Amino acid sequence: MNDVLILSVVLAVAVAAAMVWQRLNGRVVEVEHLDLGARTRDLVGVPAGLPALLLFTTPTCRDCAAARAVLSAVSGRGGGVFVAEIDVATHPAIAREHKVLRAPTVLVVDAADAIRARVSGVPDAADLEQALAA
Amino acid sequence: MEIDVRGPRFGAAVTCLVLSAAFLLRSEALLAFQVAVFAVSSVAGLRWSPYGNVFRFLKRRLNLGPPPATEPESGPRFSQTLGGLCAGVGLAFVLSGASGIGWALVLVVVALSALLALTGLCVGCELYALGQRLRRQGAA
Repeated sequence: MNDVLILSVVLAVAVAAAMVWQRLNGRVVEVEHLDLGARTRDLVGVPAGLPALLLFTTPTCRDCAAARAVLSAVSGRGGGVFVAEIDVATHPAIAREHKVLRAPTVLVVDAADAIRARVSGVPDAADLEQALAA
Repeated sequence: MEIDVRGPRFGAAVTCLVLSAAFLLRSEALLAFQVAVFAVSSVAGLRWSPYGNVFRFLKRRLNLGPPPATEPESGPRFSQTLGGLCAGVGLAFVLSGASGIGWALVLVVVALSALLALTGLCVGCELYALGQRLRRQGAA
């Protein structure tokens, strides 16, 4: 009986962690407006005056294809949203500069090149559009 | 090799069941079986993964359809290595009499495989990606 209790506690902790993960993953988090930085701007070639979605990827990233699809859908719909990808493996310094710890990570950048929000995981298209409109 | 992303989740569910049963029954044999399963996947690659092969069989039998997405096997394979090491050390502790520590290590694997089965979050894969990044930073 004692063992069943111990196992139940372990599984309950795992389930709780799973639920926390589901909530945090793909959530659009607003951030204090941070300038994108000249280095990133030059690397990616963000056109002046356009909002942008920057997707950080890695070679072994499982969900990056899904994130890419969401970003294409959002840019295809609104028009005037610039989408770019940055491979963390090729540009580790840029990833470090923006404290990118996971792939996919999406930075939402407004027309004035200020980072407004970030997402760790695959974002929901509607959440992204809302963040861009803000 | 690219693998179906559903495969590791299936494997994790089976692993969780096998190790939970091993713990409840205090069965070193079941634990040793799971350690062997980890070892085969880790050393020979996921093509030879026992649970992976069961999954492939079920996919055909039950017509589960094509993969919704694929991923390189490197992350999941590294996770099999980590799971094998953790469960293997646990087995060693149990066999040498330190069953408290031994089964505690097994329960760590139970928790992490439950997490993977439930959410698709592979902690071992994230550690692998982190390791790759650190290795590149070191070389750069």
